[in-house]
Amino acid sequence: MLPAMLLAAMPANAIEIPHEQFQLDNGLNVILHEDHTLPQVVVNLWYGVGSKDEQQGRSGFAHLFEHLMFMGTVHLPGSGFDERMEAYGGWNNAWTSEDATDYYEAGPSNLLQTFLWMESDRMRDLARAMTQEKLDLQRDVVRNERRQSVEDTPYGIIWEAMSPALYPADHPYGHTVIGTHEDLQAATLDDVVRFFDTWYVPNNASLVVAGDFKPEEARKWITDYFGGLERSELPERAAPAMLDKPQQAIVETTDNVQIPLTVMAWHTPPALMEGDAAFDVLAAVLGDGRSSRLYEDLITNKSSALEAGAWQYSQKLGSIFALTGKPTEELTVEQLEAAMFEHLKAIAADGPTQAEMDRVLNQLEASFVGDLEGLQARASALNRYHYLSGTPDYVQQDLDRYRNVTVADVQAAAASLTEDRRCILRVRPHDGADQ
Amino acid sequence: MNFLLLAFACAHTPETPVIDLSTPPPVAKVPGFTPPIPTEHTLENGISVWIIERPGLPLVSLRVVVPGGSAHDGAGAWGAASLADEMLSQGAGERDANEFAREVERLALSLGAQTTGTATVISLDSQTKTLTSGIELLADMVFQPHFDEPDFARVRDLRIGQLKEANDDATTVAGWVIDQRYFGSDHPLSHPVEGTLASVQSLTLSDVSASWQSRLGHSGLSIVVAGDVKTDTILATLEAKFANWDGSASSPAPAIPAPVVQADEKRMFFVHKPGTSQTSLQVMMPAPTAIDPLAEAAELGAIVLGGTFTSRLNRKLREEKGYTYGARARYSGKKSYGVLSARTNVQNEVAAPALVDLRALLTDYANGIDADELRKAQGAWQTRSVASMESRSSIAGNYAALAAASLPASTLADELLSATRATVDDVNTAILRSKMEDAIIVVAGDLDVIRPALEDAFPNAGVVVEATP
Repeated sequence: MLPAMLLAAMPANAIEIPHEQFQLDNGLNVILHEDHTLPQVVVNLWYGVGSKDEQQGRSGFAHLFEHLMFMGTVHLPGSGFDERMEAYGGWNNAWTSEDATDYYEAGPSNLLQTFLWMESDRMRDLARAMTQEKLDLQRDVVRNERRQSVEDTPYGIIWEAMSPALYPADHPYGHTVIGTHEDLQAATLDDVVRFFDTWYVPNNASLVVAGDFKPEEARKWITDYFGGLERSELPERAAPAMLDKPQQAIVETTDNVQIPLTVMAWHTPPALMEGDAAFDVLAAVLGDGRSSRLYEDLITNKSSALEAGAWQYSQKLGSIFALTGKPTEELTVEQLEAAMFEHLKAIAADGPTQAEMDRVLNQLEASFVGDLEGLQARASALNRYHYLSGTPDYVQQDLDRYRNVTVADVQAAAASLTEDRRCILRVRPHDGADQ
Repeated sequence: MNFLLLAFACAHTPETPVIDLSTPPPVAKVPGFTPPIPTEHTLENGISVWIIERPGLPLVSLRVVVPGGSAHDGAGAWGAASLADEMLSQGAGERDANEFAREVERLALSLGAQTTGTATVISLDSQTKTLTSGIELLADMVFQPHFDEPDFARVRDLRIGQLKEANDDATTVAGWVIDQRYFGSDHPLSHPVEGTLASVQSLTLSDVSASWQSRLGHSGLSIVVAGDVKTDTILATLEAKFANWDGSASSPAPAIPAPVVQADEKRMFFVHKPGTSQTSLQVMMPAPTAIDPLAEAAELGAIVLGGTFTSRLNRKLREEKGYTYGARARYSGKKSYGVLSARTNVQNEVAAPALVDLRALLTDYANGIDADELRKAQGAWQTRSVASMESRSSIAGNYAALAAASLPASTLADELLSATRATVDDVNTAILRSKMEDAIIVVAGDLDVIRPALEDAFPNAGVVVEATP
């Protein structure tokens, strides 16, 4: 069934990603989403483990482990995973966040059985084929990724500087996903095996098959390949207390840049939880697009800033709302911070206008439809919703969260972002000059 | 005893697997695929229109292609086309800059102009219900941009800030330098599309306004539409909204000359970017043109060299040596020239051995590929072709790129067919057009750290050049 056809048949403004869901006896969650528009298929395997689950002194390990998942098994040694896939036109990748690790394959629809066999093979066997040589090699690759994305990218150090200022050292989000060189160097082969045995188990995973396939065939292959895997008791993960204030009010750092940058950040409610949507709308009113308040006032009208924006970074254990900006030569970073904060206070005092609310909702509705046009995006969304809300059938509820946000909600969200609760990060050029 | 049972329960390998998992499953025949070919139409004033109806989701993507991109910039006026294109949405029709942005965002449109070396592409992505309003705003951008002085001053200052920021990124700087060195300083594609700090600072409002008016006078203006439209309806709308364009007065955009390979010159250039922990290595060399019968073979070869994760470059430099996070190569073909480029960022400590390996891989490339590699590249091509037809914006963008290159609407389908039929001999013949002795190499990094080892590995081979072109 085409998702588009189903969309057309639904009531106005309603959206859905058609799917069926079932669980294997070992706890593996399975979601099937048919779309025969093009002869392609996507497999998305989501593990409920991320950098928040790393032990002290092992920052970056979840992401390093993601790299090791491509280093071969007993049945498909060496670079066989990628070699076999690419030999038939398939490709794959993965990402790791604070909350989860997501592996995905895409290619012609005749590769579905191969994709499923490969994913089950490495879920079953990866640790048996792990070696010190593989660990050392991928450690080097990850350290190069760190050099490229953190150290040599202008302002790439932001998260590294902010995390310890926002969270206690022992908080699950108290370190970055990429980790430190020191911790990456400390990772051992025993760590790899333990991490695999602990987290890479079927009852900590959710499998989406999307695209041009026959459901009865997919069910059989999934049962055959994954059904023999054993479930394992997952460690208790006590949710940390919600944080209200940062650990540090102001962080000053430097980078190899020519223009200073400021980030003002606050702790906000977790993803999909009460209040999360209101902060998303607040971010859009303040900083999304040229007609947002920050852009129109500080960039278009006053030429005070080269960049001025706002965002809500929604996470499972608690989110971050931030205002960011780069001043022109007319202002210092402190002056820009004051100017941006005035806009926040104005919304706290008077709320957004109805025109602003309408604009944001229109944009959200358009992006919901547009974002779900791609097969990979739909597969990922089904797993993301399953992980965060407990059901993949959440896209309509997600959109409704935004439709139900009121002017008063946004006003209250803005009012909660007070000076005593914020953390300011200032990145200045290495030479110490403001410009 | 209980402890032992628990240990088995946690193991990943049950004693008796339910099926034999030791061998990969068979792979069935790959499903056939032919990209949809747009229907072709011409408005009364000569504007070419390509349409692909894709009902279902209420989304439409529209692209207007204006020939003559940054190659149109005159000497010392680098960045004029790009700044002019940026100005199109800073006030147009009856709306000033703020009013224009408010209307675009109120309607939840994505509307903007992107400048390339040879064309400007104005992109509109809308919902079906806002398409007509979106086209009206787009037409205002094309025919009634304000080009007001305060808006220009702001846009220019923002661009200067962006260039300063880009100048802090070794990879970007290496890209600027290699374009300049490969194409030659007099070539229209030798400068950055965005301009340079010096050129942008010297640009005036009249420079950028003239740039737009001049390029709008080029013949070959074309429109691509993909999505939830009816051909007759959208043609009537376009006929009405683009009637202001005078095709009778238009003239062709100047042709882009082929870059001349300079003989007897040093071909390795070092750029000093102090404080970087990685070094950017970039290489460019000649390849068949887009209209050469070997174009598809050249692209297949580039996929083998560096177009997938298991390509030769990535396998050696990342997976075997651990020098880098990734290494890539790509073929880029235009009507008058073709380029094979390769790039990677490596940690400083191994910059010299990595460059030795990179050169060796590129030299060995001349020895050709084998049948397995060809099959892999053909599979990657087909998969990429399928994925490129997934979203309306991707469909419109791909066909707009063809229109910008003055290539026929059937090109994507023709190329896929040609790639599918290409032989190892075809690819190996195309590869011979890319000679290592014709390559330009740029190394951008902290020369205080990497230069001694580079000079040991390549004595007297490199020339230090300024970071900013």
